[in-house]
Formats: sequence, structure tokens, C-alpha cells
Amino acid sequence: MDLAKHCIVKPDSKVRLKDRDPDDTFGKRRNDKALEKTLEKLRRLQNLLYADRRYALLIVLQALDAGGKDGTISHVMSGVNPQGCQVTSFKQPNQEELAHDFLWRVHKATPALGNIGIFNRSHYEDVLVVRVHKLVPKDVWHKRYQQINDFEKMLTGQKVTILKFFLHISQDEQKRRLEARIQDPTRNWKFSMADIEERRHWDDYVKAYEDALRKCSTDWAPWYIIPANDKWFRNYLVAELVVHALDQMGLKYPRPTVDISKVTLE
Amino acid sequence: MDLAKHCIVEPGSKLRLKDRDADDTFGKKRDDDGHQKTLDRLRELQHLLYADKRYALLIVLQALDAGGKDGTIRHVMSGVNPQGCDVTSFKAPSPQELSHDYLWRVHKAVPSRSMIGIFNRSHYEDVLIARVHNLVPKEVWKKRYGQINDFEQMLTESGITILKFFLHISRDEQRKRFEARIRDSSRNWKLSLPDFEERQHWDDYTEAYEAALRKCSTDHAPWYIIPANKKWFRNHVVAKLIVQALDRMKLKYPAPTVDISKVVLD
Repeated sequence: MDLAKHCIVKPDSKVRLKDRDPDDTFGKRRNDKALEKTLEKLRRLQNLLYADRRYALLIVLQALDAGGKDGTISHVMSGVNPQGCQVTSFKQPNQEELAHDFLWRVHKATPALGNIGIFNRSHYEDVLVVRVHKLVPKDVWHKRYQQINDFEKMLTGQKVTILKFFLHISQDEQKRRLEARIQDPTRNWKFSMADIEERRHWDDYVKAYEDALRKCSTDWAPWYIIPANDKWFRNYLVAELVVHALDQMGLKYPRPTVDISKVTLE
Repeated sequence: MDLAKHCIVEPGSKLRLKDRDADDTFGKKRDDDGHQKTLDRLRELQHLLYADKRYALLIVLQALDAGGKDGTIRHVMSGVNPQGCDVTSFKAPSPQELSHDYLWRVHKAVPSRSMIGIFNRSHYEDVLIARVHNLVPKEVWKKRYGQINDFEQMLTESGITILKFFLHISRDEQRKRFEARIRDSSRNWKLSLPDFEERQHWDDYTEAYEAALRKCSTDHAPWYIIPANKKWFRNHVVAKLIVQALDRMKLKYPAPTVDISKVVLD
């Protein structure tokens, strides 16, 4: 089955999130062995990406609160070698960051060739939270969709493959997860009043996401909407898409730089 | 068994590397199941370190070429969540780095609280390769031992636990590993002529390492000499010492920042 086809946002298509079922599993049943196999493949390919050094992979994770960004990183990426994989969490910008353009801090964190970079939130916050809470005027955020597309095009031209995943959960599922968090002493420290506050803006966020997904799904850096109510399926789908992207690079081990037939070791 | 006691360099002690057997396994037999349990524990503790946010762990890895720095990172750290673990490889310094003091680039890479930072090579190169190849005059590198101790003391006083591992292999083992690399097409791209040239300086490096280990093993940041001819044993000791260090931090989940009894989700 072509999983990518099921979740891609076709460039220039209309996206309505309510037409995408967050409970969907594309007919797949939970299969931990299948996921483990995919993760092993991912490890092998990462090792090859690191050796090859001609390409990089940038994974952008966006979701509403409790959508599963941390969980996806923990489950899908915990097998990979941390030497060759950098995670950047974009929080509220600090003063120095605010004194630059919005892409400045993002650009600094893009992966070097041979590496996988993961963005836990990203420059898309600058057309999401910023728009919902009116942190900048409309004529400023409005220009950003195109700026983002241009920026991402430049990156892909430099051999950075970009995968953008929107982890799509339902409002009900968010409620269940936040409630579970509150009850769990190993996780309730994560909980903040802002989570509840943000939940009130659900509809505004849906609108802002729909625009971002529509305007910034491009041939060079398409968006994927990952049905994410079912955590196993979310992990499986993300892992499969990452493996697929690495597979397409045609990675290989470089040739030795020294004439190894002439090497003598005493 | 107290592994730490077997490998530590006692502060102020006289140290000869030839008195440390690179083949040693302290009477231990290979136990893959036991090792896997240690790695699972490491993963758990990392999660707690990340939640707790009071401390950080800095792991310094030093070794001669083919000593197993990359392999140790891959085997010991591949289970951890990359979101809480940063690896920094220190290569030959760039012109910009050279225009600063030698600790500048190192300081920038120190882990923030809640993180594990791994240095693949480190500021110790500035008293190793810099000394062996006379990259700076003796009166410059000679002052660095004290500077390093002061720097590391400041870090430990700021909540960072520092573990310094010297992966100790024999000259024979290095030759075997180079030979194996030459034959393995998935690894011979890693070889460079300097690797073979550095081998000629084995005795100089031994002397430089002995000085660094002796002068910079302190109560706040001791050096551990890891017998590293046997890879499974090297991984076992390193994983155990990391787990011990994290255990000593008495990590706990923070209390929630909101009064969760009063939270209502609509």
C-alpha cells in the first residue's frame, strides 16, 4: 500500500481537517513486529546516510498539545545513533531570536549533510500560534507562507530532504490525553495552564493549520497528515515514511580516500 | 563488583598506562542479557533526568584512533531518546574557533540541565595532539591542565556531573582494527592517511595521555581508564558507570506546576 499517498497534502489542493479521520489506520492492524522491522531498517539507513554525507534529512513535527510530538520522537528515533541525529525543540523565542527574522533560529538548526535533524515545533509556529494570538500583524504573518516555501526550496536544493508531519488528533482524544497526564505523577509536571488555555482556541488552530498545510505543501517539501489517535499507527506511519525517504536517496558507502592496497601497518 | 574502583585514576596518583591491561575484563564473563538490562535502566534514568531538570551529565570520550569512540556512542547511547542527548564531535578547530581561547567552542557545547552531552574528543585534544605535534609552545599547553581543572570544577559546581572515559586499547589491537577496516567496504571510507601517521607517534601519545590523566583526574571530575580491547566489556563498563552516576543524582519527577485538583477540561 502506498502509505504516502494516503496522507500527503497534494500541492494546491483544498484541505479540510474534518475530512481526515484521526482514527484512521488505513486498514492496518497493530503489529509491533512490523514496526520493529521498520525501525531496524531506519537504523541501517541512518548509518548509511552518515557515511555517505551527500544528503541530510529534516523532519518537521507539528501538532496541537498532546498530539504526540515527544512520543513520536521517543518511539521512532530512540533506536538511532544520537551521533548523527539532532533534535531541536523550538520554544517561545528569546530576545535575541526576536531581534532577528523568524527563520534565523530555524536556519541555524538545519541538519548538516549526513545528519537527521528533527524539529519539535518549527518555523510553522510563526504562522500558527503567532496568528491565533495575533503576536504580529496580519500583513506580517501573511507573507510568511511564501517566505517559508522559498526557504524550504533553497534547503532541498542543498540536498536536504524535508518531511513535514502534522500529527492529527481529535479534540476528544486531546481531552483523554490531558486527563491521563493529570493523573500520572510521572507526567503531570508537564502540564501547564497554557494547555487548557490553548484548548479553547481549537477552532482557530484548525483554521491556521489548514492554511499552513494548504499553502506550504509543495512539490519539494510536502506536508503529511498523520492520523494520530492510535499511537502505534502514528509511529508506524512516520517510521515508514522516514525509511521511504532515505531509501529514495540511493545511499552508498563512499570509496576510501586512501589507496588501501598501499597501506602497510607495522 | 565496584567497577569504578577498578578503572578510576586516583587523584594525585602516579599512573603508567602499561600497568593497565587493555585486555582486562576484571574477571567478568560476557553477559548480553545483563548488559541489555543496564541499557534499559539507562533509558529510564535518562527520561527521569530530562523530567527532573536539575542536573546534566557530560560524558567525555577520548581514545587513540580506532579506540572505539564511535562504537561506544553507537552501542551504549543508541537506546536513549535523542531529544535529551547531544553528541559533539570536536575536529580540527576552524579559523573562527582558533581566534578564541581553546575552551570557547567546548563551553558552547556543554549540556544544559536535563541533558546528556557527549564529547567525541574534547578539550583534552588541546593537551594531546597539540602537545605531540607542537601546535602551540610548551608554556602554553602546560598551563592548560590547571585551566581545564578550574573549568571542569566550575561546571560540576553548576550541577553538571562529568564522566571522563579513556578507552584504552593496545597497539596490537589498533593494528588489528585498522586491518579489519581496510578490508571492510562499509568502513574503509573512514580511513585517512593521518590515522596511519598518528600510529608512528604511539609513544608520544602514551606520554601525553599519562600526563593528562594524571594531572586532570580530580575529585570533582575523575578520569576512568576503560580496558577497551574487548568491545563488549568496554560497552558494559561505560554503560554501568553512566547508570551509577545517574543513580547518584537521586532524580525525581518534579511536582506539577498547577494545582491539578482544580483543573477542569471542557
